[in-house]
Amino acid sequence: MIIEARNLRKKFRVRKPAAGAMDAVRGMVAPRWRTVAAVDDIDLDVAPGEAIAFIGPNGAGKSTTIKLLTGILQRDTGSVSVLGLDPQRHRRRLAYRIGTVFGQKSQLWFHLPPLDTFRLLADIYDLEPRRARQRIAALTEVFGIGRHLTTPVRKLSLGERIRCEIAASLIHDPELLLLDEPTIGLDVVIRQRIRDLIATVNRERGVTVFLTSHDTGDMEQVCRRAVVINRGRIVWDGAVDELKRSVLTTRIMDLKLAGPLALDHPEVTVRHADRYTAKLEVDTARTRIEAVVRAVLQRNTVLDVTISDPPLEEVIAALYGDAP
Amino acid sequence: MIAALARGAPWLRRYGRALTYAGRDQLAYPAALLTRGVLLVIFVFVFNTLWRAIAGDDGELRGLTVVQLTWYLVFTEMVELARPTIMAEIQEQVQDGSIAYGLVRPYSYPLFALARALGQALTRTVPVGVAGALVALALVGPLPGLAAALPGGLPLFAGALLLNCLWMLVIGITAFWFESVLPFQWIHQKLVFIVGGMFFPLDLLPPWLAGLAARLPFAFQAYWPARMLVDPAPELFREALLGTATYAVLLAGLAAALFHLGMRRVQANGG
Repeated sequence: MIIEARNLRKKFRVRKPAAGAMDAVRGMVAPRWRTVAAVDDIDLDVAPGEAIAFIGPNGAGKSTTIKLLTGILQRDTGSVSVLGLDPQRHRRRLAYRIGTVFGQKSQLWFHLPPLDTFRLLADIYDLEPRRARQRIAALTEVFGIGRHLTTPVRKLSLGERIRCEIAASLIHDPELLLLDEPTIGLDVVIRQRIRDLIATVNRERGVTVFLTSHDTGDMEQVCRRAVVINRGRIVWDGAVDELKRSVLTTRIMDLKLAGPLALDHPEVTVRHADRYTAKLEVDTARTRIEAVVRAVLQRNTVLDVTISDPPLEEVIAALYGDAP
Repeated sequence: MIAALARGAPWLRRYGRALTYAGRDQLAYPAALLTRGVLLVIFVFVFNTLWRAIAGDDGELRGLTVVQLTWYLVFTEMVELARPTIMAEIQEQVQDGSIAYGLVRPYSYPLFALARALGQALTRTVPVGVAGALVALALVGPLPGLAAALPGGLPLFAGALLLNCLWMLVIGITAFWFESVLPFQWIHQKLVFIVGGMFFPLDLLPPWLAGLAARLPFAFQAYWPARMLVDPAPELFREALLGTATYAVLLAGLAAALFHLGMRRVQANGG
């Protein structure tokens, strides 16, 4: 197994907010704390070459799990092995064999060209100069970033930057790629491109992918297995197709209209409608989304339409019959 | 430089490259670099006027001429105005939790941050030094005996830059315990101004205070390098170098210890 975790737990101490001015003053001298179980008794096995989506709402424990797997954080109890190493005891040794992409934190030097960051990372991972040149050339081809290598990062578009970002995480040819919210804040087109690239890295290069996201689209298009986490506990572990069949059976359609919505379709639930907007829930197990779009267009003047997955909170509620 | 480091110790190559890149990174905003030079021009002009008013054009103050006092300020300000931004960067990373992301790499975070700080400081020193030299030349002419003072003064000057970076690193790391570390930087800066001999040599202070101040760490990032460049005293060089090295080791140890303790807080309170 690439990753093997048993009864993994991690608690944090969080300061209690003050209830009033006197409490705030008292808190300066003797702060009051409460304990939060960020990861609560997780068992997880990931086989070589797998592409696994670790999804859950904000605060579910996704990032904490990644930090436990990389050795940044130390577990309270349980055991974990990544590539045969204990991340807690062998953090540096493990670092040479894993790649990381944190969607909220760029590893590229903003004012310098990506090539400089690539060279620095090659030094950090002790690559011989010749090997570094080979890796940079290979990644440049796979990610199609030849034209951008010598352009300062600040002058690159967001999509170009993210491609360079993922290429940078693969400089040292890692066996495991951990991506923490890699598509956060990206628009639809760039998000799709990044998903394709991650899938390519997994399928063609054999790199095991462990991806956290709160976007079910990342899971559907990149991974074959999904693990859903909520409140620090795993609430689903199975094939993405199965999850889609059993839970992801609805799509949300947001409409901007020239007038009030006119629609009568048995497989559509109107969640909200006012004079110029409407939010529809489409049961995709019973009807195709194109059929609903056609029905809407026949009787309405549509100014704008957005089709999205239901929020992950609703997916989890459907899984457990429990609001998160 | 990177090639030299690679030959000597391959593991040092990453820090050498970080230092070089941090220096180049500074060149992205040349206007900001030049502004520091303009500030120095104003400082040197004001203090030169002050020294002339007190001592007269050809007068001396405690054995130092107006020429020496003017160049003294150029050298101390070169260190001060080259202050790196690493403190603010660490504070931000601790506050938003992104410091954890820097720990997934196989390197020493504090050493990497120090390399970046040194790169920033070295680049910033150049335009400040050029502006300071130009204004000093215009106001008082060249500094007599500078060439002979360089072998002793330059190592102390480099040591002063290192101490400045180490202070910023230490103060930055205290962000693990304090929401804003800016007040600590402010206090450090004022101590360098007052008891470090930033604006005037410590020799102008009463002897008992000068003796005490000269042994504090703040003097080794202002007074000692500048004094050795304007008025070399070979018999004091060893003492100055030893003081610089001692404080550098102490501050580096403090940074490492604080970082270790800070990481324990991350373990307890979350990334």
